[in-house]
Amino acid sequence: MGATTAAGLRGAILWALVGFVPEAPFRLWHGDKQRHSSLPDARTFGEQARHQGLDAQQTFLVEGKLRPVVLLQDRPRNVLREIVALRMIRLESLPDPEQSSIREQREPSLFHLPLRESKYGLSKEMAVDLNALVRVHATALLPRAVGRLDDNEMRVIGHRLVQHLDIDLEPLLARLVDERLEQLTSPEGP
Amino acid sequence: MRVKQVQANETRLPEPEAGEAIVVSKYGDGDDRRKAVILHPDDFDLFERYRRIFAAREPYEMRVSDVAVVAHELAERGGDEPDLDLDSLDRALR
Repeated sequence: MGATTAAGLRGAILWALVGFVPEAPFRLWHGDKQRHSSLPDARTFGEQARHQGLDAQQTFLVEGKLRPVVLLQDRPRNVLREIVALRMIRLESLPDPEQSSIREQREPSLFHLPLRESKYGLSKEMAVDLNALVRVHATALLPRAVGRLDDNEMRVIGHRLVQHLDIDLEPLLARLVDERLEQLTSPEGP
Repeated sequence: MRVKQVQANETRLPEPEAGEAIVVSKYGDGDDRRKAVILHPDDFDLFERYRRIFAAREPYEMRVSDVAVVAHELAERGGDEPDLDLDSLDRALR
């Protein structure tokens, strides 16, 4: 793994090459000396794979961008090479009312990072986009973390992410409460 | 949701267009406290359909704000950072 951070990757802000999500029309690359082709939608792709021998695996032409991300996971064993991260957006690219709304913490989907270069390592005011979960390969990260979100900030992001991803925690919480109650009421005590 | 029928000749209501919600504020409270929201019947049907589909588990996307959508779309197209933050990038390359 190229990225280095003494405190682990979770919460670290790193620059990464982030590919955009492929969307229709899908441009397919067929080699150096071939013209790329285009398929209008996923259904056409599926039909050609089913009936015309199109290989299900293709090289897609998608754009990517070098940008800072917040990593959400540690990889102490280095065996899983892709790391889940959240993309950020620069506030100055938004109209003033939208910027104010984010600064005033009225946007649960956009976690505000004020300009604190010593902490976040960014010279622009940013917001973490909770709707922009990305996977970044370890080799697509620049070597050094520039900043870090603290444990409290990561906890807030984690709580919000559960909601944004429509994850149902109720059964898990109910089980944990049951286990705790059992511990408290057992003759041996907690 | 419990639906209560009221005849049009028994009440005076503004007529919302499809895609428009008319928020009725409590008198004297400015626009801070809502008393009622009037929807076009098509939008109410849509709302009821969503409720039937998603029941108690409403997808979070239903609550995502316009600001969040604007910001997300901008970054999704790469339009949020027209120039590189060179100082930060230098730190990353050190």
